[in-house]
Amino acid sequence: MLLRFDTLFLFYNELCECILSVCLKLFILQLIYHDTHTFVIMHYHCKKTGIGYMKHMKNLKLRCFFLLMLTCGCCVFFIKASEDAGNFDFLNNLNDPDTEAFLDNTHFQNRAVNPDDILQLLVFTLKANCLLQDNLYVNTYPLNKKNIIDVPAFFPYREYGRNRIFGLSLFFNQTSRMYFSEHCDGIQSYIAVCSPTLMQRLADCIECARAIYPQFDIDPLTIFPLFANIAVQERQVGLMFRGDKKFDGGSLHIHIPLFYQERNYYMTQQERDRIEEAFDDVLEPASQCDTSQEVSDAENSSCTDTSENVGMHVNKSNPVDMAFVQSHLIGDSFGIGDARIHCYFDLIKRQYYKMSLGLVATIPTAFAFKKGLLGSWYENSCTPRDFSIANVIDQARSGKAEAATALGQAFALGALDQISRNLLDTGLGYGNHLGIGASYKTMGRLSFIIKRPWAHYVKMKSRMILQYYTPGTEMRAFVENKNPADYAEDQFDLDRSAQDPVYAQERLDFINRKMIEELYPFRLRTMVRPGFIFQSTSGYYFEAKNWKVQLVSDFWARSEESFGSICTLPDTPPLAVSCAKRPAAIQSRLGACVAYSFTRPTHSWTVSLYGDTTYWAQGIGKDFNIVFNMECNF
Amino acid sequence: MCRTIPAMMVALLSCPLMYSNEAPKVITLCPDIIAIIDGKSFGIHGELVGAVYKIARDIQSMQLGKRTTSGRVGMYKFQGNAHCIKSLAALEQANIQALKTATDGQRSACEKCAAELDTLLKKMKQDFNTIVSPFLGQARGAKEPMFMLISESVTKRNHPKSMLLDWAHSSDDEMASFDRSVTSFTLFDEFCTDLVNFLGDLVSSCSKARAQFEQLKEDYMRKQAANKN
Repeated sequence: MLLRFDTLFLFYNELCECILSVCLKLFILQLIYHDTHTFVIMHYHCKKTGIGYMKHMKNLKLRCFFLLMLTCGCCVFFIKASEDAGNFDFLNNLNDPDTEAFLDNTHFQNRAVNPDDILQLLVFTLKANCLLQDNLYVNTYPLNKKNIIDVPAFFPYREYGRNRIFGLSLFFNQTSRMYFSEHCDGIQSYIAVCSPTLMQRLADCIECARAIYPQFDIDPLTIFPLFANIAVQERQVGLMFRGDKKFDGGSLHIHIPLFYQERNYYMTQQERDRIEEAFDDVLEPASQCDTSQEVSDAENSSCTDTSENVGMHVNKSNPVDMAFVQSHLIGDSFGIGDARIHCYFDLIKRQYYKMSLGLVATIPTAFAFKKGLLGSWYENSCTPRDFSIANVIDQARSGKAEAATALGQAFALGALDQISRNLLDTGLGYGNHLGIGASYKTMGRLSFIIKRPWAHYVKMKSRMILQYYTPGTEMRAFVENKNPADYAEDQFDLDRSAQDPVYAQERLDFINRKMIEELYPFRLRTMVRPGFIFQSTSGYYFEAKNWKVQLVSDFWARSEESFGSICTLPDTPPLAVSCAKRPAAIQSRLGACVAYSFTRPTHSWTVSLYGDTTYWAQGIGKDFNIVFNMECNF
Repeated sequence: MCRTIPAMMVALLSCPLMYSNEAPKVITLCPDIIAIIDGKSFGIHGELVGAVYKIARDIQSMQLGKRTTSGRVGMYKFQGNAHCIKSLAALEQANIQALKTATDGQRSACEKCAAELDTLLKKMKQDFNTIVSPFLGQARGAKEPMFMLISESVTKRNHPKSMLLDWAHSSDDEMASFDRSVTSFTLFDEFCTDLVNFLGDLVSSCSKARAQFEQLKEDYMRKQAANKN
């Protein structure tokens, strides 16, 4: 270390400004004027010469020697300390000839990003590894839905006056809040936006980030629960083509839909307002200057109420970005759905009572002619294999802030698309599963029990279907079955990473890979066994001349699905398989129908309006249907 | 004699008190941010310190004149003389004063001088932009932390209304903000002082990055010495 005179003075500058220097000086004066016996060197000297301390202290030369030793010792100590503390003279150093020569002859290129530095930043500064200990996805299965062909309005209830029926139904079906789990219709049971552990870890991470970005004042424990109640809505609108053929001792029925299906995320206005308020609070400090400027502009430009102007301005500055909504928050498709075939054989056929047994099949004809009409289709959103945190940081520190932001934004939007792929992408039928089952149908007139004329016009019909859906392959999303210990801080050896770049890179790659896997679930070809679907429908009809009124109650249940083989890759970690299985679902509904029939010599027409609504559901959303039906019996 | 030597020692210990007022004041910036970026490849490292030194040197050359063996010499010619920002600022003030008391005959000369100064200011601002643009490119990626550090530097240096703050916090183009704010040589001089002070504070606070820079310098010197031999 170079001890220079001016550096010595710099030391004293600091030294004399602090109390320590006063104490030191007092101590030295004490040493001069009074005896002391605390210095080791003196002790050593005394021992060696056999002279007492008191006698030594009377020796002026020795006193001076001690004083100088102490002064120099302190100088060395404090100069060393002061170099770290900031007694560095930038301007003086700038004018140093050696430095100048070095600056003149060197082109300073930006240093390549060191994996060890990023690892330290992520693990030891931001504690990002703790975020990876829990899965963001609570579940990864596609949401339970009921096939449109299962709506009771399309079932063959008709009385066959003639041999054939052709029907065309215009239908609208809406599920206002689909169920993400057995009992919950909010996204919190699908994405861990309310997990206290994850949110606390995120809060800790943000707290660490706040050291660099103090304005990044987001409290995840407050903000994220606001998203807990996000729902998924589904709408289906289209035409159902129906055909019936009567033959000796039985009948054949087929119906197949052509429809448009749309799914979107949904929040109530209050929920949206709360989120906007929360984000306004977060963004307020940053935009304070701009806002004050806007307010003054508004005051200058108009004499009307300023607050109103500002309010309008805020609303205008935050319009709903429809392009964004269509690209990431809506999924839709148009095509044909599964075909349903019923074949009944009459077992009992009396005037007051009929009973039929039949076979039922669901043919997986569902096919989308077009995906992403108003919204998008997320099937092609894939994992960003080339995404790297090091790359983002490298871009940011190289001054390419926009490129870094674009990389981060693409990653985040990709993660959103993955959620949308799970929740909004859905087929038009039950998937590649052939349904085969048996059906039982009865019809009885009330006059069979009550012997009154009016009772002859009241009929009771019931039908039960039990279908087994054959196994088939589907692409399913999976997340890792995590062991939190793998992500603990002790898995990242700071000292080793500083010395071993290969180790540092390997650990950084690990965090990078796990971060991608956290937000981008594995999509694996899976053998899915949907199990059984049972449906029981009862109807009460009142017929009067050309009019018919019908009340319907329907019960629908689907068993929990199971998996066969899962096509994993060699580097696929242990998977949380149970999170990918659709749970069982039950739904009960009530409906009503009004129909009018008129007869012509060669054919008869029936026009009907049907509506139903779900009053109880578990594991599946509560939907309602409106069907306008027209059929010709010829 | 018995009391003279100790008294001399006391004097020796006390003399720094007299020196203290002249010592350059060094500001240590926010330790939380510095701890994260100091010596890191994504933050402030040896090469960046070198680049900062170069920028500070170039700005000082503009502000005070280029260093030569005979002292500092202004880099810009104005009315036949070599000038730096500081001397031009003095000239500008003198011209403003002269304009206030000028007669009609003198006024046109003063106005001509002001126009010429304005033209030179524009040119020097362009040169300044060329010097700082590489640093700005890198700083743009960490705008918020950099703004905090600048804010801390100017506050601790008792200059909270520094134009440097507006410059660092400009949401659009820093150069445009600089162009808007710096309208005279006096302001330009003030701006350069603040910027060099900040760069000094930044480098002073980053001891690890400084050590990396010193290591680079040592390597260079060693190589130079080896080449000479």
